[in-house]
Amino acid sequence: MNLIQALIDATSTGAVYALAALGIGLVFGVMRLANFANGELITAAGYALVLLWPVSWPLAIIAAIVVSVALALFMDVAVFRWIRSQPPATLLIASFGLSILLQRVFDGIFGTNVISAAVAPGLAASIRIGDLRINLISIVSIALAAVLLLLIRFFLTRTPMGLQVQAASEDFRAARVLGIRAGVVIALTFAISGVLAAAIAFVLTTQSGGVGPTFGVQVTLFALIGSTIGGLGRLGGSVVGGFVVGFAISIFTTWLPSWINDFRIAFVYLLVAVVLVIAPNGLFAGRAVKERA
Amino acid sequence: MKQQQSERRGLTRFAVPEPVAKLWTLAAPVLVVWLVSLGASALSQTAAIDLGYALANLIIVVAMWTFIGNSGVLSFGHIAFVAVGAWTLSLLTIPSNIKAAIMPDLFPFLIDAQANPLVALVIAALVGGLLALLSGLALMRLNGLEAGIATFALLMLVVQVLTYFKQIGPKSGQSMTGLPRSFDLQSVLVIALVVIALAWCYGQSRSARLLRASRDSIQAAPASGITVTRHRLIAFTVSGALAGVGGGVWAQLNGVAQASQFSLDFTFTTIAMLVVGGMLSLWGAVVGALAISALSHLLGVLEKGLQFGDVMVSLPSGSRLIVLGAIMVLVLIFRPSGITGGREATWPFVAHIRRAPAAQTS
Amino acid sequence: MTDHTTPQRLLEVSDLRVSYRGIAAVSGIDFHVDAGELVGIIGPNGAGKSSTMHALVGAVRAQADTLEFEGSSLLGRPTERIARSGIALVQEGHNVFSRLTVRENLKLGATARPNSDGLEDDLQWVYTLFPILEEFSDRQAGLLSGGQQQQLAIGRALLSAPKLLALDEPSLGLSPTAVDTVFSSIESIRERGTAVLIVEQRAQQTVAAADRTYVLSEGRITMMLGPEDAHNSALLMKAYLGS
Repeated sequence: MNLIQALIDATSTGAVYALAALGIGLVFGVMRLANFANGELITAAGYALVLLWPVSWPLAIIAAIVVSVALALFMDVAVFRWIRSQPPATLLIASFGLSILLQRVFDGIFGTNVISAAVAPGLAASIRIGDLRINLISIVSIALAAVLLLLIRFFLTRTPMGLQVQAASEDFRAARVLGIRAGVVIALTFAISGVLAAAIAFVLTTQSGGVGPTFGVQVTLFALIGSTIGGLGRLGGSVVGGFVVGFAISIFTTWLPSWINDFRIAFVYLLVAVVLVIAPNGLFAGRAVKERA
Repeated sequence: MKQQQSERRGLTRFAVPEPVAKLWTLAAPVLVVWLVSLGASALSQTAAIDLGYALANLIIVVAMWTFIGNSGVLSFGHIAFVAVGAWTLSLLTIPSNIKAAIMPDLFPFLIDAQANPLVALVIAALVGGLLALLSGLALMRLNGLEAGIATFALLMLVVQVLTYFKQIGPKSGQSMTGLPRSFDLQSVLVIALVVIALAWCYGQSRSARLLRASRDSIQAAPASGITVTRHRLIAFTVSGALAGVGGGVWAQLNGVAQASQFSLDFTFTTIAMLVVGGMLSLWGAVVGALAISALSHLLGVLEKGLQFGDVMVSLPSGSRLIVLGAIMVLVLIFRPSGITGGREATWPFVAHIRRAPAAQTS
Repeated sequence: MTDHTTPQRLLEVSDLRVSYRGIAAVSGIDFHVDAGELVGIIGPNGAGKSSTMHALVGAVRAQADTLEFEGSSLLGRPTERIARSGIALVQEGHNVFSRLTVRENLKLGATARPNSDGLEDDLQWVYTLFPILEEFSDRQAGLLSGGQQQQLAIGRALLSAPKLLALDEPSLGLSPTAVDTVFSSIESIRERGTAVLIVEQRAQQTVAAADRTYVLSEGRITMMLGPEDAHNSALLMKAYLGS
């Protein structure tokens, strides 16, 4: 196994998990909601991609974005808006309930079986540089993640709305006293998490080609846990935490010898436990780096 | 039930000494569980089967309350202790020859290990408690919300290990069968009542009271953080042990244990019970578990279909969790402290005792 | 935007009540602020001063016979809409967004402006009022001193072009020189035509500066003082200790 090749694959997995953590982190910042149901945004976008890609790929991409943004906004309006002032634990439970509920709804609509379609089959190819073989999808997902991270960074630091999101993340009440519209800022972060979910769904469907009712759960779970070890509420920390977890999964998958390869996921969780023991407040707590995202 | 209480309060103002009122917070849940069991087992064959699962879930929810209710910290990981309990009891009670046949890679000492079901249940509790203690050393260092999220990791870790570790169970993801049925409904009921009593006793302990006192003021008094961590760890351990018992009972009733059964859906069902009942009181845990179980039973009957004259009414399968999810979300929106408001059962004859636990709702 | 020629009623409050979990913090107070006025509210800790301010911007639930700003009721109006109708509150404890730069904080202040006309003028004026903000405009707000943060908080509030600037204990925790800066800036703000409502523990300075000062004690207004009372220490003592 080629080292560079493995590192690139790991980076691409990490990038996808970082995007998921970013979506979760943005929403967490403004309303202290660790949104477990973020996974169902990914699943919804995934269904849109596999169902519509055979019809028309631009339509599929647009539909994926529209569907996940709409679902994200719907979550806000139907559930979270009503319990905004509840403690974070209540919000987390509600999102967990919503997540399971939506999984069953997907079950009911699309059936329990995985629906398959070749999404962006062109990206399944790999390119050769010397004896290095690089999967095209790895490059694409790294690029996609980098572009989205930069765009969101630009949005947060350079636009008035982005500043408002940052202000609301730091002190929600003080932001409202300045006239920042709470509902708008929250809806905006939900919408962005929807867009990110669509991007994640694109990469994941391209890799796996199939979507089932629990399609988005694993990424979300890992991203949530990654955000936690990176430092929830610190956007940069969340993103790095998500990346580290994704990177670790990929590296363990490639490098663990076959007799313990089944335990790769277990090892990731074990790694998480070790990190927690070493740094209970998150890996990046108390450093300036974490604010840059 | 509530109606009755307030009527009586109007009629007789019969004050009781404090200890009696306190004992009532144990007696009420025990009585209610006993009566409901009596009723359900007389109702129908399916009701009796569902009652078994209801009691197993009740044990698990009471175990979760022991930690979540007293510490105010969420846990999505208790099903891990349930799984470990189920595993332990299964490995200790399945006859050796069956074990050797279906799990050829098992550690030799596990093939030979045998215990009487009750002893196995106690060992299941010990293993559950030990796992809670060890994982708690890492988890309890975290702040509340982060700890809650990190408990997902614990659940996943345990499920992964049970799925793939063929030295302690069946080959990747297969199920453990051949579990002899040793507990009848009656003994499950007794076990459930004992668990309620144990959880109640823990709730009366000094450690639990300190923990509850810290529950709402953890941010205000970070200086007490170290002792809070210790008391949380105690609660987590007790709670893990009780959840282990729940797992053992569950495996007994189910007859089969498989790692994939200890899933997010299972976690969700039990959390929903706790939330709907009111997660800050033992009474809430009991009421929630019974109420949701009853609802589940009803939905299960409807999913199979009910005959109304010529019309067959049936719900699509899977609607159970949708309804449950919707109910939980609605409860969180409209009554976030649950049906019981997070209060313990109050002595029906007098009003003044309810004050102490009532302060916790917020 | 304010009409300077005829004094008009800006804020009208009567029988304002605030309670937390059944415990009354403010129990029925009346006061008003006219356009261009500087009005003070003084009182000891726990007298209900901050609760009054929070009630004003809808940050706590309050009851009142009247709570009107420019003739329309503020009761039940969300905080951000109150801010957008022209009340800028500077919260207690130099409340700035510490992770953002000074410039970004100031930009956020303009959120509640009806439009951006005159924003540049206002910014220049804030810079003349508090030169330090221009000098440190790229610095993280969290790195400023307490006094500088308070200047930033006031400057930020001014950029919303408020008709009423509400200051909640602006001198709290500041050094004497910083307190002087704050008070002299309040004079300039008022000279520019913005009405100011200031809640303070520093009785003498407030009474001297304000057109009218209400004394709040245990949730009730017990006295009203004019600038001429500023040097009547006996009266101020009495105001504080209650009769």
